Amino acid sequence: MKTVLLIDDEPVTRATIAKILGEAGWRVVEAPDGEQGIALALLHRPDVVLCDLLMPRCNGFQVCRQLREKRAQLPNTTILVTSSRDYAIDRFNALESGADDFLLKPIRAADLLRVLDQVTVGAGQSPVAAAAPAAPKAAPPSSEKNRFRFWGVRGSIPTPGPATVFYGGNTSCVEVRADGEVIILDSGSGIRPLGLHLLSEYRDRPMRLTILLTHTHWDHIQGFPFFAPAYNPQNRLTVIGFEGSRQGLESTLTGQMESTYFPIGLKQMPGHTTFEEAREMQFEVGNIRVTAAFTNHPGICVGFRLDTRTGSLVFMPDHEPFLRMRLASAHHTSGNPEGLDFARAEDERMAAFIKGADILIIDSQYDAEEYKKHVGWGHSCVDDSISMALAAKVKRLFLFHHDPCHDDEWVSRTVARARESVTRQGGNMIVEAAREGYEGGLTGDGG
Amino acid sequence: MKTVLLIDEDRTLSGVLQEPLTAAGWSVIDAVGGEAGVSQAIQQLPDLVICDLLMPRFNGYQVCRALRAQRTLFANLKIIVTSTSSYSSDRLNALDAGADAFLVEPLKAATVMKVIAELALPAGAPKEAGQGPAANRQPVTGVNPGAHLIGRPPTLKFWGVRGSIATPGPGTVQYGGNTSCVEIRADGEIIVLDAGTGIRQLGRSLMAEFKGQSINLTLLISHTHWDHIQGFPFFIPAYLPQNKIRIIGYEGASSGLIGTLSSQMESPYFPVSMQQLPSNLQIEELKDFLFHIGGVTVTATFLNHPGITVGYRIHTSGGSVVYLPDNEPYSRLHTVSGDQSPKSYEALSYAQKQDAKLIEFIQGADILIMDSQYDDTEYRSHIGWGHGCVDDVVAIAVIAKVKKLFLFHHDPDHDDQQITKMVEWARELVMIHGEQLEVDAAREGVELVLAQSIAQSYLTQA
Repeated sequence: MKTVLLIDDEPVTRATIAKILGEAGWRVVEAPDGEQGIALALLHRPDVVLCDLLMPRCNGFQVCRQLREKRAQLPNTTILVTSSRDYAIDRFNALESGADDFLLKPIRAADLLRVLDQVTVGAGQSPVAAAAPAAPKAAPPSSEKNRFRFWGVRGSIPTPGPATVFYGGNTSCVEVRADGEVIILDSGSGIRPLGLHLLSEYRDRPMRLTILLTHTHWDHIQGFPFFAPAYNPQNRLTVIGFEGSRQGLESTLTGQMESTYFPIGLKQMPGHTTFEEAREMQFEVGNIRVTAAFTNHPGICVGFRLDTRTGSLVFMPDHEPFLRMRLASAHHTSGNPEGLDFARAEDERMAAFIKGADILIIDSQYDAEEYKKHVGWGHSCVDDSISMALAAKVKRLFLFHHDPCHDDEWVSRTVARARESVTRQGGNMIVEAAREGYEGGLTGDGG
Repeated sequence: MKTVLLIDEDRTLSGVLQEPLTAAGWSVIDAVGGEAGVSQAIQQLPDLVICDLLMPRFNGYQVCRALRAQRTLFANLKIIVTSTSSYSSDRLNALDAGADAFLVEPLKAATVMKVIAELALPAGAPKEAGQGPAANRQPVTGVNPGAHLIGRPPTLKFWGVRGSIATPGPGTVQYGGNTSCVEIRADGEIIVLDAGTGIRQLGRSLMAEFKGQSINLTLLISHTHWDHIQGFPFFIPAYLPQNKIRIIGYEGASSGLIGTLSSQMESPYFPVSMQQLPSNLQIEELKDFLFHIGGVTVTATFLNHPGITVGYRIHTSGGSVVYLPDNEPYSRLHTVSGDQSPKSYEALSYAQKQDAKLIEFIQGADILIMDSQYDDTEYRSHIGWGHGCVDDVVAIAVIAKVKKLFLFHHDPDHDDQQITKMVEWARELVMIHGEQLEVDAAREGVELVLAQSIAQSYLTQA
C-alpha cells in the first residue's frame, strides 16, 4: 500500500487532505511540524511527502533539504511542497531545496490524486537539483504521436504584412515532439508565439524543453528574450549549440540581452536555463539521437538530424551547396580540379548526413536566377535543394528560410514548379513549402 | 631547424603538407583536434602552426585565441588557419582571433609554401587584419540629390509602428507588425526616426524612387533597444557607395553609439560588418538637445525608459512633429504603486515636475506620436516596464494642446481589433472631457501632409 506523509501545521488542512487520500487508498501518516515530519519520514519511509511551506520553526524548504540529505534512507520518496502563495521565487527555491514539485493551495482533490498517481513507486527518482541531469519526465499533455510544427519559416528578418500571412513572416523556429521530448529547433521570432502556446498548454505544470541552435545569426536567436517559458522558474530549458567564432554560446546570448539592447539581462530571466556547448557531433536528447554537421554558411553553423522512434528529421536552415558555390563564384581558385573535387567531397558529406531522411527542412531561399546574384551569401537555391534531396532519397522535402522579399504568391509558384521538377525527374518525393502553423507527423508518410 | 605544427581532425593537412614541408627543411609535428593542438604547441613551441577551422570540440578560432593569449611563449609564432569556407567574414574573424593568414581548402602545397615564405616578415611589418573597404567609399556627388524634394510640403509616413518585436501574421495586417520607423520629408531633408524592421521596406521604396541617384538622409535613433535598430543591417541604401547616411543619437549607458550599432553587425550575429558597408556613414553622438538638419530644427529630451532614451521634436515649415516612441509617464509610476508615505509624496512631486517638463517639450505640437502600449488595466501589471498607457497619453496630449495624437508602439500581443478598441476608447476620453484632440493609432503605410492648421491624411498602400 502506498504511504503518504502529510506535514502541515494547520490541523483542519491536514484532516481534509488525509480524508481525501485515505478514501483513495493511501495510507496516511500525519505530522504537525517539520521536525516531527522528518522523524516520521525516516521511520515510515513514505512514497510521497506532502509538506507545507510556511510552518514555524522548520519550514518546507528546510524539510526538503534535510530529507534530501538523507537520500540514502529515502531513495524512492517524492517530495511535494504545498503553499497558499504563488510567488515564483518560492517555487524556484522549493525545487532548489530538493522538492519534486510545488502545489498551490487550495488543492483540489482531483488534482492532488492525479499528481500522486503520477508518482511511480520504487522508481528511484533522482533529486531535482540546480543542474538536474535526469529530471522527471513531464509527459506532454496531448497525444503521444511524434510530430513537428513550424512556428517560423522566414529567413533573415521577420516580415509582417498581408503579403506573407499564408506562409508566415516569423523567423526560424520548428517544434518537435517525439519520444517524450519537446525539442525546439532555433529561436527566431517564431519562438514567441510558440512560448505563448506552451503556456496555455502546460498551465501550471513545469516544462522540460531542449532548444537546439544551428547558429547565432539574429534570425535564429532574436526570439529568445521573448520566450515566455524562460521567465518561469519552474521550467527547465536546455539550450545546446556549437561555440561561435568569437565567444561562447551563453555569452553570445547574453550579449543579445545586454542593457544597451534590451531591458532584461539573460541572467535575470527567472527560468532555469542551462547552456551547453556541444563538443561532439552526435549526442542524445532523451531517447532521440541528435547528429550535427557543419554547413556551408558564414560563421559556425550546423544542421541537426533527429533520429526518433518513428522517423528522422533533418533541419538545415542555412546552407549553400559547396560545389555550386565554387563553380559560380568569382574566386580565382574556384575553377581548379582539386578545388572542385574537394567541394564535391563536402557535398557528399552533406548527402550522407541527410541520407534517407523522412523529413528534410532545408534552406531554399532563392530561385536559380536570384542565386546567381547571391553567390557566397550562404544560402541555397530551390533547384539544388531538390536535387540534393532526391539524390539522398528523402521522403518529404520542406522548402525553408523564405526570402524576406518573397510574398505568398512567389512561394506558392515556386512549390508548384518544384513539384513539377520532381515529377519530371521521376521522383516520388513530397515537396512542400514550410508554412507557419503547419503540423505534420514525424514519419515518412506524414501519418 | 624550424618546427611546424599541423592541427586538424583527420590528418588531412599532414597528407598534403608533410612532404613539401620536410623537403623545405621543416620539422613537422601534428596533433588531432584543437585541444591536443594547443597542448602540443605549448610543449613543442613550434615556429609555425597550421590549423584547420572547423573542428567540433575546439575550433580554429579558439586555437588562435588560446595561443595568442600566451604572449611571451608565442611572441614570434605564425599561425595559418585553413578552412573549407571562403566567406570573407570567416577570414576576418580568423585574423581578428590572431591568425596571420587564412587559406581556403583544398590546399595546394605550392600556395602554402609561398604564404609561409611571405610570413617570414621583418619585425614591425604591419599585419593586415580586418580593414574595411574605406577605399571604396565614393565622395558624395556635387549635384543636390534632394533637389526633387524641395518645394513639396512636408510629409510624414509610418513604416513601423509595433513595439518590442516584429509581429507577422493575419491579426496585425491592418495596423502593421514592423517595429518602429517613421519617415519625415521636410524642407529638402529626409529624416528617418528609428531603424526598426520597418526601415527595410523604407529602404526598398527609396531605391525605387531614387533609381541609383545619391540618397542623402539623416537617421535619428531614440535609443538602442533592438526594436529601434534591428532593421539597419537590412537597409539597402547603406550598401551603396553613392549614398550618405548621417546617424544621430545620444550616448548609451555603457557604450557609444558607433560601438552599439556595429556590434549588431558583428559575427556571430550577422555576416556583414558595419565597416564593410560601402555607403558614406557618419555616426554622431550628440551632447546638445538642439541641433539642425539642413534648415530643419530638431530638439530632443530624455524619456522615462530603461537605458538612455530620447524623444525628438522636428520643427518643419509645415508644423512640428513630436516622436516619443518609448516612455512611461513619471507620475503614474508613482501613484499606481499606492505608496502613501511622505517620502513618496516627495517622489511624486518630483515625478510631476518631470512630467511637466515633458508637457512643455510637447506643447502645441501639430502631431504627437507617443508610446501607448497598454490600456489602463494592462498597465497595472506592467508598472516599471518603461511604457505608457493610452489614458495617460491622451491626458498628456490634451494638456499640451496637441492637435493630433497617434497611439504608437503597439503591443506585440495586441491584434488589430484590440488596437481599434484602444483608439475608440481614446476618442471617448477626449469627448468626455470636451476637448478637441484628434486621435488615431499609427498604422503602417499611412502618409500625411503636414499643413500648418490641421494635418490632413490620406491612405497609401505600403
